[in-house]
Amino acid sequence: MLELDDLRIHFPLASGEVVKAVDGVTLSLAPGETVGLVGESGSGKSTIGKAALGLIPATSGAIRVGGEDVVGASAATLRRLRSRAQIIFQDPHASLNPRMTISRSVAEGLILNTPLRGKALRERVAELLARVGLPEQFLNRFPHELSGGQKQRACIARALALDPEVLVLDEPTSALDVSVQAQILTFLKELQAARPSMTSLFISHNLAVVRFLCQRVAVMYLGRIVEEGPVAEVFENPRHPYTRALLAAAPAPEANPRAKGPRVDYVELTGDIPSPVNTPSGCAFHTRCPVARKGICDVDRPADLEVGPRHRAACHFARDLEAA
Amino acid sequence: MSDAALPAPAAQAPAPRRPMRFRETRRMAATYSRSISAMLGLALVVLFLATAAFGPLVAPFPEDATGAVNFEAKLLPPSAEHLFGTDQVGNDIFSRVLFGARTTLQIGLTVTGIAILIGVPLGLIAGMTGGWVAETIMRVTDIFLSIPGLILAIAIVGALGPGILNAMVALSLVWWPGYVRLVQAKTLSLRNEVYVDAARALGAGPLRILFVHVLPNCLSPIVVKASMDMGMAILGAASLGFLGLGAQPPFPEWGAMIAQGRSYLPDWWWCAFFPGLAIYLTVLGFNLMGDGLRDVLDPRQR
Amino acid sequence: MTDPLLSIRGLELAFDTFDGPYHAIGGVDLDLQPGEALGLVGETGCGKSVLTRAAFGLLPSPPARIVAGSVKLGGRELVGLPERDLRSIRGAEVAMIFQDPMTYLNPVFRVGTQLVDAIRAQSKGRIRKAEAKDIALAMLEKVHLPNPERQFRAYPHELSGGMRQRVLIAMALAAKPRLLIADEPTTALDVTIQAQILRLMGELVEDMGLTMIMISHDLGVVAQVCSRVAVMYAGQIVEDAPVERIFDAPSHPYTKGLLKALPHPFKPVESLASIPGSLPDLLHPPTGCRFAARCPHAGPACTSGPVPFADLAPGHRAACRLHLEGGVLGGTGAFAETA
Repeated sequence: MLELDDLRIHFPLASGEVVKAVDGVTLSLAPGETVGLVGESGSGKSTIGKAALGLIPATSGAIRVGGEDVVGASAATLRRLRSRAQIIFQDPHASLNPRMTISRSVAEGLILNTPLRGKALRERVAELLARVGLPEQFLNRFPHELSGGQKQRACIARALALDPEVLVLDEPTSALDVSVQAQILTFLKELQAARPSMTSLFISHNLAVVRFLCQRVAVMYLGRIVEEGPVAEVFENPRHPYTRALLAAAPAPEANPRAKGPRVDYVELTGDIPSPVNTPSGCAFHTRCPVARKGICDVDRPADLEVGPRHRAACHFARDLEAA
Repeated sequence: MSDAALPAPAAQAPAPRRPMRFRETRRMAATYSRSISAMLGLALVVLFLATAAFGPLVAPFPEDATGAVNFEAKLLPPSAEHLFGTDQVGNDIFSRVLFGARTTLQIGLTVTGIAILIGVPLGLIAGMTGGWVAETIMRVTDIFLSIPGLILAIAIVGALGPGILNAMVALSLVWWPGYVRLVQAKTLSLRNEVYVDAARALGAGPLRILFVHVLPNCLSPIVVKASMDMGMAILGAASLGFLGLGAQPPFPEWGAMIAQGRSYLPDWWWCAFFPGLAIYLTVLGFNLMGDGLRDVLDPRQR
Repeated sequence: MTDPLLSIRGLELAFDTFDGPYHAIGGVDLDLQPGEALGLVGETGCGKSVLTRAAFGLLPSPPARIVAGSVKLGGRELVGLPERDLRSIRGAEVAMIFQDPMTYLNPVFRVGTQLVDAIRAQSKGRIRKAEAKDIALAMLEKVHLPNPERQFRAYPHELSGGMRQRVLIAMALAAKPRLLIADEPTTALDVTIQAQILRLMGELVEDMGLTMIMISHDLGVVAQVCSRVAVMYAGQIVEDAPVERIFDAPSHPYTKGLLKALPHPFKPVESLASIPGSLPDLLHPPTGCRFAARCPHAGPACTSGPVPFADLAPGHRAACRLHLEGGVLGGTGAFAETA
């Protein structure tokens, strides 16, 4: 349903350097799947999310939504895209126009893409808002009168208004409190059940949330996917050193953090994340990798190696690392 | 299609004591009224507007504003009959000041209005598009802004010939660049807001984004600037009038009145003093009000 | 039993707003022993940041107003102290580090200059420039900044987020304060960098015998560094326990609700229980337990008056009548009078 094919998104800087935000990403989402995209800053995950909606132009490669390529698409194709794919952004406080009422914001997609107007439009908006738990009195309120969780619900209503086949969620709960996050996540999970054909790309840096919501996960580092597979498999049996470090560093709500997940060695990374302007040569991770070997890792970019059923990792030593 | 349903959030707070609708307006009004200078500004502006509206109706000697001459009453000091005294042709200065308010208001509104009509769209275009269109607009704006305003106005009036209408044209041409700068900067920053991206994702084209999302959020700085500009425009017109380039006698324009009265200083000080006082209070009023509005509408910009 | 380093009793704080006083802190009792690392957790609006800032006079005084209570640092009362005295305490005895390192470093001065300035200011001018520079370099090393000489000469924008946070930690600890307050120090950082910073903070706490309060909304973060956790809700502390007990034996219904709402990276969770309802309106705070409106076990006694703490285990207390009566509540609202 959503395919990324050797996608590259490079931004030229005024200084002549190039920011390689996305550097050769290939990923395929089957209809109805929820796939998580995890990574830290500079990983390119948000860029991919926006590019899938045509909000950021790609430099090369393809992004296919339901078979139609978004890269370099015509205006007509992009218009069709709008009703097939939608996005929910991270910051609910910034995602809504402060001068528009909630109902007007939610109606925007409908006004632009359907002939619905007047009473019929109002009714549909009220229905959409009711489904996300915002009853009538919220219709004419302005964003600043709502809490973060309520604003995010309104954004979800807005995205679902057009019945999209593909939904991109860019860190939808990162800015929310724990209990509100739980509500929204529960809703998203129920949504998966209620719309089994809807494909979702869930972008997050929070591994716990990804575990809860996604069937598959792809781990990104500096614009490249370093590991990909079923979520339980990747989290319990990580085969890429970066994934291991990420899992080890993820704060888990338990008393003895050293006793982390079943089989992960504690590996703390030294140094900072390199900037995507100066992507290291060869394997992007070699500057911080505990098992990097000179002559191999700093020269050759690793290919995807299969390490398990539908589980791949881009590391020269993926197969050698103990499944532990 | 049956969908998942989120539980409705429990009643937010107990119903706020005032109805939600105008709460924001009330809060702004309350904040505004807490500032003494802002309230003073508001009072002065209201006084000015009232004078412009009703002044000519209460003026004791309305014919004096249009050129009647009364040499017996010439250069009389302020008294009960002539509150502000009389000038060298015997006209009641108080009446002339009252009539002059209307002219002044006209000038201020026209100049500011035209400046906004020209400057805001240009600023929006410059902010939304990039490339050579924006560059051209901004460079032209820069050129205008680098010439001292009054000098430019004088030059334009010099070319067009003196008169109140030409003065207004000149001042409008001097004023519009300021709005371009302001609006362009605001548009540039608004363009990158998340909700603009969201609108694009929903299928909005650039025009729609401009009018529905960007423009309404630009309004507060424009309002603040406009109110300060009223004062400055009035001062500008008065300066031109003082130089003899604006209203021509016997037109009761305050600047021109000061010019006339100048020759009679200091013995017959009232001829220049009262029109000057009127200008001072009006400009002060608009400036204070503009400051107050800015504090209310955009407290971060303090 | 040594005297606590920080002792807060009955602290109440309100903000005077357009709509009336907003009771942000509604009676907090807290003791901090020297050498302890306390994690203060809660969601937005619970008052955790307000509490620590109020204690040291960092809230602008209108509109904030301490209504009642006392805050004693090493026995010395801080409430009511004039600003001059508070200022000499801040920096020298109590240091704070905040969430966003970029906005707390002046972008036009080199890192070294800012460090030296801070050190000299905290010593009230007694330390000279050269000596301050040595101290600064030593601190930069202590926080594991690679190549301290180079970082000393760098500008803030040349450093990454993690490095800037280390600089802030160095600045805070240079004067060897007795108490360090870290307000969401890693929220703006990436996960792997966060792990490094948390490990550093844990090290420093042990190394320097530092007493620390770490404020966070993330229980996982707090679990890595702190030995004790206090959970806040709507301006009150609802549970206070050693870190293992908070996770293994949470006792207050709010704490339990929070933990049930958290997904876990390694344990598949079927569903997340959310806490129904929302924060009470602190303009008109409810009498009694502020959580009662959302609590599945609430009873009439819960809203009648202030809720005392129940001692559940050494160092573990919870402000909940459930445990006070020592009994099990039968169903919603019903109260078992005896154990």
